[in-house]
Amino acid sequence: MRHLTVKDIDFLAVGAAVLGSGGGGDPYLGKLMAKAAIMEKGEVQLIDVDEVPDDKLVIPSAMMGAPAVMLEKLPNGSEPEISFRAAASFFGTEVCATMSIEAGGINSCIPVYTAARLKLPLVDCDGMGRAFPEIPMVTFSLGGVEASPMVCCDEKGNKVVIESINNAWVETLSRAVTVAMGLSSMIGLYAMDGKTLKKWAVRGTISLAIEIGKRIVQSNQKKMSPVDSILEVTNGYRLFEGKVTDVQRDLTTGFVRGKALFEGIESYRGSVMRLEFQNENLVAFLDEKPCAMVPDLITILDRETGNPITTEHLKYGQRAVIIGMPCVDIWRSEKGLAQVGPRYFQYDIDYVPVEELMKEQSR
Amino acid sequence: MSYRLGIDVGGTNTDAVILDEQNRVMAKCKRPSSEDISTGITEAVDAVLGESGINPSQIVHAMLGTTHSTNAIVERKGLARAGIIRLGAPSGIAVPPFLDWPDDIIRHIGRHYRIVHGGYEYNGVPIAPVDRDEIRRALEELKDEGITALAVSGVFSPVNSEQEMIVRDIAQEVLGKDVPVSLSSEVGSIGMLERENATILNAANCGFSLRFFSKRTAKSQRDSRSLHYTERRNPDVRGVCAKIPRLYHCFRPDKLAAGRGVSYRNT
Repeated sequence: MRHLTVKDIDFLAVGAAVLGSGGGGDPYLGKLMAKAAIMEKGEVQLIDVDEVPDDKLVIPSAMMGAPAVMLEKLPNGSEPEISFRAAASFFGTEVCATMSIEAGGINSCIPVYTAARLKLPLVDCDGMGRAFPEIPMVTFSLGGVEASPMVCCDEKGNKVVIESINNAWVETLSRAVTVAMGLSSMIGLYAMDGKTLKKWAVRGTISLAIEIGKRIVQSNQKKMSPVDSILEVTNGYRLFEGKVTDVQRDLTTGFVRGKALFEGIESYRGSVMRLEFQNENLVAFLDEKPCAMVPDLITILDRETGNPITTEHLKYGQRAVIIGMPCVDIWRSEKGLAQVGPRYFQYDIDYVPVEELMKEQSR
Repeated sequence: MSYRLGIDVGGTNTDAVILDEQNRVMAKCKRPSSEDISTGITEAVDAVLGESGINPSQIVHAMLGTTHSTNAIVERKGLARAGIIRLGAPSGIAVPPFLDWPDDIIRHIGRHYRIVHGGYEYNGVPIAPVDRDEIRRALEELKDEGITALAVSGVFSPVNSEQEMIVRDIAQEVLGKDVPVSLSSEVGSIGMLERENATILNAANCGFSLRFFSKRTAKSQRDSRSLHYTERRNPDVRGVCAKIPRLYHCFRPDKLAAGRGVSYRNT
């Protein structure tokens, strides 16, 4: 067990954007909320998955909606508590902690806010090890954990409880509710006991995000590039270094779909990288050949500062390092790939882990 | 016919230019920048007005680009005590204005804000109806706190600025016409915190602009009252401080974490 300080939250927000794989929403808002809550209510206890008793409940807390709207219409602050308490009221058992379902992006910080406000510990884990666009895309789904009863709450105090036949319906219904709530809601879902959590959680991801963020911030202070140090802690690979020559985005499907083109610099001169994304980065093609693909993490870093660049902040002329990081093993299972593999995102390619693609390349 | 006056104070020269409604250049001139900035501006403005023969009353916008405003922020000098009314309750209570601003700038500007009901959803539906009495009360409280400039930010105001304009009208009654009002809808685009921060800085910087313009009123024999007046009638600080958000690039994010936003997206 350790305590999360205001300083840790600064690191967490930077590291979470690296794990966000280009998406997950800007952690800045979540960071402000988490810091304000810690300043008011005190530091948050971060506990290990093994510290959760088998028979006690954990209810994750998150924010759902369109990232652009989240940046404009800010939360009231009471929503996470309302949705958390409403979700908890379904169960006779004690709720002993909250947690993140998505360590990449803004939902790394929202549970810190909830934990501080409710004076509950935060479990050091999540359900993705990165960011994904849809509610069923968590490891808990693979373990048969139900997302419902799910509670959506808005800034006005409205709350809607969804009890569905499966997690796909939770996604469909909560998406409609969130639209009606003004494209942004706070949610409580995936309540589970300690025993289930121990089996399916992606462990240690909050402290991993903090560690990544710390390395970036500290390297910046020393005017050094943090890229190698990020690769070391994430077992990642440098895929490419280049300059953004084109960015295309299409918003018509409700997601941000698009691609970015990079022209190689220095040792990558003469090569081109095409990065395709749907909210998150999906597949990186080096001279037309895939060199990393979902569910492995692909993140764009500012070449100078190592700060992560999310897809919405990609601009012509930026100089970037593109890195690939292996996802957690559970996503590489047959069931996992069916849920979040390249074919799920309409690519006619079989998943090959980033480390194997890198080996092929060096041959 | 209406015209716009643009002034750019550089390290060496102060340029002034007058454009018509079709953005055609009517007159331009260059004068050496002066130590006190305003002498150089006055000379350049007098010259460009003289050359064009345009009556100052026909100038509906005056835009001043100067590092002076940035310097004021960097050096924390001459900043007004800018209060802010945010239209958005019940949203946004978790993230009030000035959150995460550096203490040393807060010492100059203060932390004077009220969050009142209002703002819009992404589709234009009001989040909550605007309550004029609530706004009036909030402004009276801010007046008692001693604010000398006002910023107004409303949720989704770049899409619909009506509520912000209601606040401006009430503010002129409560605070008087001499207190400059900056509306966020005229300063930036979508992204509440960055737009709001830019608007507060705009308001806090009006002191410099007003000092300059009143000086000019006193000095000039010409009908410069109208210049002064238009500046104020468009407290739409597009008039004077529009460059600040962009100038904000000068700040390193760690210097003004909350102003981080200011350096993006706003133009």
